[in-house]
Amino acid sequence: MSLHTGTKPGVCYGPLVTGAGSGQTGDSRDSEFRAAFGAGAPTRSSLRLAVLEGRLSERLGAEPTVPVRLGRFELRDRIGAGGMGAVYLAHDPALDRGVAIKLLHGWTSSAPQALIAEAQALARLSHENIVEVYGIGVDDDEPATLFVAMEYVPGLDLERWLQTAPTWREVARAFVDAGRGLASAHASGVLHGDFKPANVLRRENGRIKVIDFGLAKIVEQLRVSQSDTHSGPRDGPTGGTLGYCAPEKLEGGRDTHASDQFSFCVAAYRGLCGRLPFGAASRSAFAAALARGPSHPLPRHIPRDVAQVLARGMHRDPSARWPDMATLVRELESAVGRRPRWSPWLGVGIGLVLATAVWVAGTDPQQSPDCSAADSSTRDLWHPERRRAVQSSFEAAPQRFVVEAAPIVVSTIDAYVERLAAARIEICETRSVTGRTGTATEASSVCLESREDGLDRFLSRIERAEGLAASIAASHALERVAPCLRPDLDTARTRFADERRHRVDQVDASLQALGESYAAGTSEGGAKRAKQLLVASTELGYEPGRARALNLLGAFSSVDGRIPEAHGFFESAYFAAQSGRDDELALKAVRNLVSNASRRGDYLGALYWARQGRARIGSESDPIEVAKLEYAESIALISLGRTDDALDRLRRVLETRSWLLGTDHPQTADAQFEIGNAQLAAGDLEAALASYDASRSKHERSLGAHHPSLAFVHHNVGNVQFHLGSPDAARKSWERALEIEEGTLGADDARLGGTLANLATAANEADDPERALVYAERSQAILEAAYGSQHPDLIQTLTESGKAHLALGRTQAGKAAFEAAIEIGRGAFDGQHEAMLGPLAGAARAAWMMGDADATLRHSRQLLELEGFSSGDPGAAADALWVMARAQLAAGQTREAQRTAKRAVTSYSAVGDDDSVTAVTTWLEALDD
Amino acid sequence: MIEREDDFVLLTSWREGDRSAGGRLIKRYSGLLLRFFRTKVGEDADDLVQQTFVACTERKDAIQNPASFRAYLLAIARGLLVEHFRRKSRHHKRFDALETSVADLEPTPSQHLAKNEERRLMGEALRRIPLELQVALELYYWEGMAGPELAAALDLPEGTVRTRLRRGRQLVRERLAELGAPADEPLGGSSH
Repeated sequence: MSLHTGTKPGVCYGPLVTGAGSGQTGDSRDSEFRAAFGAGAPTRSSLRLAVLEGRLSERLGAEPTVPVRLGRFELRDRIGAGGMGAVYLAHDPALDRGVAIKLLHGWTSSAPQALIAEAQALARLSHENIVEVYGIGVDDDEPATLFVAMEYVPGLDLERWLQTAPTWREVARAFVDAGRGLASAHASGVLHGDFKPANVLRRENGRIKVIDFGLAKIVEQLRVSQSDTHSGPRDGPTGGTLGYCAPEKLEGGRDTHASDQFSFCVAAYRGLCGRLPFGAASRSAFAAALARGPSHPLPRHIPRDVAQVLARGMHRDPSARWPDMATLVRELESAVGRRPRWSPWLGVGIGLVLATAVWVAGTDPQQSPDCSAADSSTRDLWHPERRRAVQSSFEAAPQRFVVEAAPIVVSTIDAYVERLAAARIEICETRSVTGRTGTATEASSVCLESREDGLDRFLSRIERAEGLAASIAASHALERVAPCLRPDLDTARTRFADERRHRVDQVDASLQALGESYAAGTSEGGAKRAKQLLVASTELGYEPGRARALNLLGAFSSVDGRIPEAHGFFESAYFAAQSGRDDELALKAVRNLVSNASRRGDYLGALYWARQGRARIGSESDPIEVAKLEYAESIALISLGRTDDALDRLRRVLETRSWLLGTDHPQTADAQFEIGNAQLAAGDLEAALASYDASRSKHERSLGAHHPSLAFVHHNVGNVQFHLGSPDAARKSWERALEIEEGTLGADDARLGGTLANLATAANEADDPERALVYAERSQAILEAAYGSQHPDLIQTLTESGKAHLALGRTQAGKAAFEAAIEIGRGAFDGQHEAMLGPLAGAARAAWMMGDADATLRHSRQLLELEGFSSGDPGAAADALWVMARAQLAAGQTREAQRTAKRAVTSYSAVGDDDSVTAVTTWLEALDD
Repeated sequence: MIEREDDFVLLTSWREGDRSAGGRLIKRYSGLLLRFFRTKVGEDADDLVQQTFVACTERKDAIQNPASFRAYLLAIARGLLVEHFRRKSRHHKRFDALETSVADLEPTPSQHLAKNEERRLMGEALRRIPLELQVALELYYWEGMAGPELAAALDLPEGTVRTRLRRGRQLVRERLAELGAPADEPLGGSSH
């Protein structure tokens, strides 16, 4: 498969170094430096540059260039670079599919034929966990390049995927799949030679594909034939990567099944534990570590069998490892499956197994007490009966969305318990390995204990079926575990002498419990309790306690709607946190101040507080708290119209939350939702719709599809769809909002009135007046029952009623509805409000339909005098003008009629309503006669 | 690099929608930008090149007395580079380009296959000096920029540029010595 390139890649630009102004520096050794410096200039890869230029031209609206070709493939984009060469995304026009092309540099066409044949053997491998190789070719033009065309796998390599902190089971499963791929290749007689996480790709759906089989060997042969010096300390002499490379290969041996096995087990170990078992600093360090055993035992929650399977595969002596990959994979699979059976394979060579077991148990058997029971306090909290009880509690609830949320909550708690348990073990191990006790680990233990107590209280509330609805979201907001493990954890309490420490602990515990009941919505008398705790903290001189109590007081005031009072509390909390030198609490208080200011409509004030908060952010700040601050700030920015700044911050918030809390977390969903709001405010409707949609699925997955929070999302989606001109889609979205609201608030709740009014609007817009009437009448009934007949919220409802009546030919009823709306508007805001647009226009139309020119004119004039008349809804303005023109004519005001009609024509053309333009123009022409 | 005065004219045309003008600018300057970014951000270089061009076309500024188009472009590129690192700094550490080197920011070096040891060492040394000094040295030695042009690209007075170059050279020598550059290398390990 030896092919020519199509077009030559671009030329190199400019000479390297010419002596430009050496007199500038006055340094006598400059010329030497220059020479040395010049040597360091990066190689100009003309291919890379050419592909980049192509891509840029396409994306930046510049004149397109001819695509760079390699063989029959058109290179589109560079998607990565590995140790051997770059990878490009390319298009195969012959089969019309995307392929990935890996380039290997430095190839000369005088390479042995046997190598090419071997390379082609790779192309015959076929297994779902091996990347398919379509072909291998040589590009003869200079510099000659070997390229491999293979299946394009969109996704991450395992190296990067592992950074996203997947669960150990997901990691294990991924490696089992990769192992299967390896086993299959071995069965076909192909060895990998350089297995490591970077050589395993993972698609979004979890499918695993191993890449780069045998290429390491080919490349190494290349290097040997080129007599290139090696690049960097990482490469072994026969291909492979230091750290993963089997010891026998380091000593000059060849690739074998056993050496692949070694690399596989090292990689799996690294995936499960985060560290290479034997390091990779240098060959000598590696060899020494190999003799000592893995640097760090696998985390305790991973079954011991797994560790033993891997340990055998990593044995220094190749003949002691597993007989083949297939067996290894089988053993690994069953070990992961936690089947506690005694495997015959584990029994054989028991001496070896015991020897390796020494490594697995820890660095030094004498020194480490058993930490395997360190998580018992956590596990006891979440034993199977309790888990069942919690689940039943949810399933027995009357509200549908609570029942639906049962599995979500249980799995969220499962994950939380895992994190707590792992933390417990880690603290124990830190203590035993380092022999370190003292304030740091003690503080961590106390911290974890308080988390466990909090979890216990949370679970007890659920068991008593208290505040179930609020606990769905609260399950995601249990106090995070990670902060307990920070080595610099130093609570203010340690500054107190012992006798006060106890009382401070009590105050803290009470504050904690109070905060939890606030979050659960079960806190009558909470404000009083908070005041008591404030007094207690003041007496103790415990500033952080004062700060927390004041924060809570602010929260309680906010809930009761006493916003200015809340501001005072939050401000005091902020100052208390400052004097207590507690940056975290200060950040919390500031965030509350920002939200509070927004609620008061003082957006500039909100930004002021955000600036204060930002000044307190340091490298130790909890990123989640920082994200909350930025989130609150963005809301103010949106209201101020600074949507770009808001989006900037919100994207950071989204990234932080996705990373630290997961994509299916209510906070992450909220961030996504707010991005939609910002985009909507900026007028970017399509983007807003996409964001709302993304937030909807996140909300659904984290809270359940009928959770009250979903109602907001459906509302906004409907808004956007309506403005994008899809009233039917909007109606369906609003229907879903209504369904949720009915489920959570009850069918007669006043808040449904607004949703129903929107539904009426959508139905009218979609030319379905019967349905619109049904909605409108229900809305009216609810609103009048809740607020009486003069409430401004009724204006929209009555207007839609009116429109529906008119559409059905019931002019009297329509007129009555519009006039009722006008009455309310006059009473509520003196008639000057854009909400009057609808009713006035409707009343004018109704009057016209009834032949009452005077009434038509009266209403029309009022309409025209409304501020924002023509800018608000140009189509409606045009309609109103048209009606008015005809009324003027009927009233004998011919010249005014003509002028008004001409204005109507202008407005109609502006909105592109050509039919109406024609109608009015014809009418005008008839007048001239 | 042959200086072309009409590059600013091309830019204006591109901003107004002239696609062929854009194509020519891309062909002329992609290489420069790629070289600039590649030694500092590895894989993200392609994206940053794109962003630089985008920033160029989106600006509405009347270009104020620029030394050269190259300098103008590089000044934009520098700004994007700093912003790129700021964003990557996950824990809000204060990022100061004068204090931080690429090696601090990118602990795993990008996988350039250096053809020889000398090039590799120089590359390593450059990555370990503060970013602003690295930029100054590269522009001076690899792109042959100097005088007012270099000052414009770095957005500094010429005197400061000379100081930066001096300090950069000194630090590179020190790093090379630390990295164990061979004894017969022209720069040597002796103090300057």
